[in-house]
Amino acid sequence: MIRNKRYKKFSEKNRCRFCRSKEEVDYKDVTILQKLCTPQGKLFSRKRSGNCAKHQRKLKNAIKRARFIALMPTVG
Amino acid sequence: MNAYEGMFVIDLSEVKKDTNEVEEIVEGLIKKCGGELASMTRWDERKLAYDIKGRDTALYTLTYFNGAQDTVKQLNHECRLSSVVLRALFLRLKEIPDIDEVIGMKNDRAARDDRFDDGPPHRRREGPREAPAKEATPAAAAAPATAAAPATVTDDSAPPVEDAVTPATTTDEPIVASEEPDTPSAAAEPTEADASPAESPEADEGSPEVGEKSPDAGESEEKPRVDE
Repeated sequence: MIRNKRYKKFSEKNRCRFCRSKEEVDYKDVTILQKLCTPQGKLFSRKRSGNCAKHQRKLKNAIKRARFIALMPTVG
Repeated sequence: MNAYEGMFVIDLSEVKKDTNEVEEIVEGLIKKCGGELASMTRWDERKLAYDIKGRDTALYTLTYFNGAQDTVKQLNHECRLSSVVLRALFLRLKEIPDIDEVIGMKNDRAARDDRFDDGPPHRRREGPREAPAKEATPAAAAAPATAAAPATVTDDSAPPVEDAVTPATTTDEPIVASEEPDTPSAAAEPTEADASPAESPEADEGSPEVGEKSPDAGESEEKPRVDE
């Protein structure tokens, strides 16, 4: 019980946008992907974007999928 | 049987987009590979981020279908051979979503473009940045060339320009200062020029503040005259 309370308290201060908004990372949602990338299309670090590790991994896969079908630019 | 999501990038130059030709081609591909088409929609027609086979614009077609593992393998193979399909992406899903929900979600996202606009956390500021207030440093007041500028900027320092100029001109050489009334630096008024050399010996010892020097100026006027 104590552990659950602590976790709840921590989750309120969560810096991850996807955890806060409870949105899922989708490769078709290009507007969000572009906001978490540089103009070249390189992914921001966790330190800069504030994402948790789980959503950073999902974001990485989503960006790679979006690059494959030419929704996002590739970096040379 | 598994549920899959397929995104087909269709070359518009090969297809008449006003007809159902696109849907027929995609449905034919899926059926040919042993899949069962559940739903299909024209997701978007947009400019490509990079050219594929010399094309810069394409039609994105989103499909949901059921199929076996080999279906996706065959689909990938068929899409490579097809001249209409530029790219195709297949993802395995737990269950097939309602196509209306997917389209509604897309429109909802487009309507809310301000999502995540708060920026990265370390860049967030609680309030607008305020410009630091300019302060007149004592060094600037002592400099002869820049003495006029801080006097105009700071309204609180009431003493006029003459008080700010006097200590700087005379602090270094009190003896020469008796000849300075002819110099252009003290050309404002003859009375001020007389006051400036008089302050010089006291200015070396005293504080740089201007307000205290003005009463001393009256007393110091007598000293050079006595010396002469």
